[in-house]
Amino acid sequence: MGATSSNGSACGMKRKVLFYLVLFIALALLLGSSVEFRRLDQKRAEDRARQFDPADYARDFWDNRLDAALTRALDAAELIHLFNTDMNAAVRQGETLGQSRVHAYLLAGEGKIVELEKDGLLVSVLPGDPNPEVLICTGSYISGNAVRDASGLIDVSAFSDTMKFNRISSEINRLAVQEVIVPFVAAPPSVGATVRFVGAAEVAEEATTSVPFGGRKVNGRQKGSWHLLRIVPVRLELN
Amino acid sequence: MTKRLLVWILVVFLTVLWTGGCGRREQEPQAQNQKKVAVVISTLNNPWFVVLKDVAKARAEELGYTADVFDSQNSPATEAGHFDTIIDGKYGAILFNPTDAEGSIASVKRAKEAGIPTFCMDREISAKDVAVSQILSDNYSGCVALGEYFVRRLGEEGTYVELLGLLGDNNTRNRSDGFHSVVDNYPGLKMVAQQTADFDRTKAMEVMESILQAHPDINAVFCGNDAMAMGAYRALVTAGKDEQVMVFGFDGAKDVIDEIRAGHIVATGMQFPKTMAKMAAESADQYLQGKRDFAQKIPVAVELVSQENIDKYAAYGRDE
Repeated sequence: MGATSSNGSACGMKRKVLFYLVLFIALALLLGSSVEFRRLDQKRAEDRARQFDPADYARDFWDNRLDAALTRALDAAELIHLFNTDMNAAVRQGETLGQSRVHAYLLAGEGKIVELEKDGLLVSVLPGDPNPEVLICTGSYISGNAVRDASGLIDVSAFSDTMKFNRISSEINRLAVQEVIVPFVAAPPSVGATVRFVGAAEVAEEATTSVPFGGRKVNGRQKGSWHLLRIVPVRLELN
Repeated sequence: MTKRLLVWILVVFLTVLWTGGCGRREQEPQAQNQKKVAVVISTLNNPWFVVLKDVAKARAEELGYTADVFDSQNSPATEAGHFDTIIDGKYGAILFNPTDAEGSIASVKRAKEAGIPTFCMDREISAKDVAVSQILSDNYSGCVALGEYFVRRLGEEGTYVELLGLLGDNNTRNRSDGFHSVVDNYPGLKMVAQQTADFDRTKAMEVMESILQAHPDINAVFCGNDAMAMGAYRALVTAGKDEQVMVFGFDGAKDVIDEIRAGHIVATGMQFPKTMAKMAAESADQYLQGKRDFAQKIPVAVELVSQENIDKYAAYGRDE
């Protein structure tokens, strides 16, 4: 009787083990299809993207990504010459955001400061030309998307909304002022000094159709305004 | 016994949950009528959107589709109803001008689940994986240019008013952000009022009349679209202040282009509704022909139109 009871309890135990095993496998299958394992750093990156901070994004771009793009900066004097002689060829060298007649360029060069203005330095970069062709922005603020778009590194399609994309531009411009312009103007440059720069510019397709960069506008006045390539500096120093 | 019962209840519960979850998964595309396209427009109460609709419809028809137009009357609920009709009607594609950047996402998602591709025009939905492509005005850059011109025309000093569009539309924020990214850097320029007029001409006139009571000596008004610029201008004419206050709009609509030419409105940002509508119709056609590689967001540049360059422009585009 004792042996039968012992066999029965062993059999019941086996059934119980088998039942829980089947239950465990069923649960594992169920959970396996609804749980996903990912690397922790990938998960954190996704969390950061969800809590998007344009200042953080711009800082990372400025510190870690921009340098690589600057290595392919065009020579400023060559681009100005190209715009003044073959606009279509110059247009092909630029970065274009979507459908636009405005193109952005990364530029490097050096030139002589011809005049100091409130918003920037008027600089002559073409050899043998005493007139300025370039305005290097050194005012208290920068507007537009020159650095963001000229870098070619930030894709609008990567953002759920264009407000994020645009706020990055504001933050990059703020960094250009804080990190480049403010230290530079702390020791005010003088006319006649040579300045070296790396920067970005936005140029409309028809910018030079009537007046070349460096030329004077002819509109009935004896002294017209200079037609200038406006450059947002990301590196700026006196020679 | 009770324990075993509980375990079985748990198993049944989890199974129900699992199968329920499966039921929410994306449906297989229905058999669509590949030759039928829906053109869904936020409102046809504004001539600018009528142009967007007309060109989208015309281009789709040129490409061999029948195109049905749906007017959402600026109501996300009406828009959602249109999507129900479109999904039931098994349309081949949707050319879509949304009412709300967030609120319209669900409708586009439903269309996607039903296998119907959506192409946004002009207005954005705040998502990057629901519509096939979004062809959008670059409002921010356009308003940077407009802001720079505004500063130049006011001589860096004065008081002004801003009329905002629909607050749920990303265009409203992008335009305002672009404008303020320039203007806020001039301490001599003071904004004395900022109010929404929902992109609506009549509402803008009423809002402007009310603002003028409190601020009769303003120098300028910046409006987030041309319909509001026209409403504000009418209020200024009625108050006898149209000579004193500079009006700036955004769109490139016919009446504002005419008023710039007449010297009554100072400037606007020219959007290109015909370009965007054509691109959307052509993208839908390419999709239906098998193309799948589309940029998610395609900004279309906005150009500054003022009394200085008005000869190069016509209503809704360049003078070509």
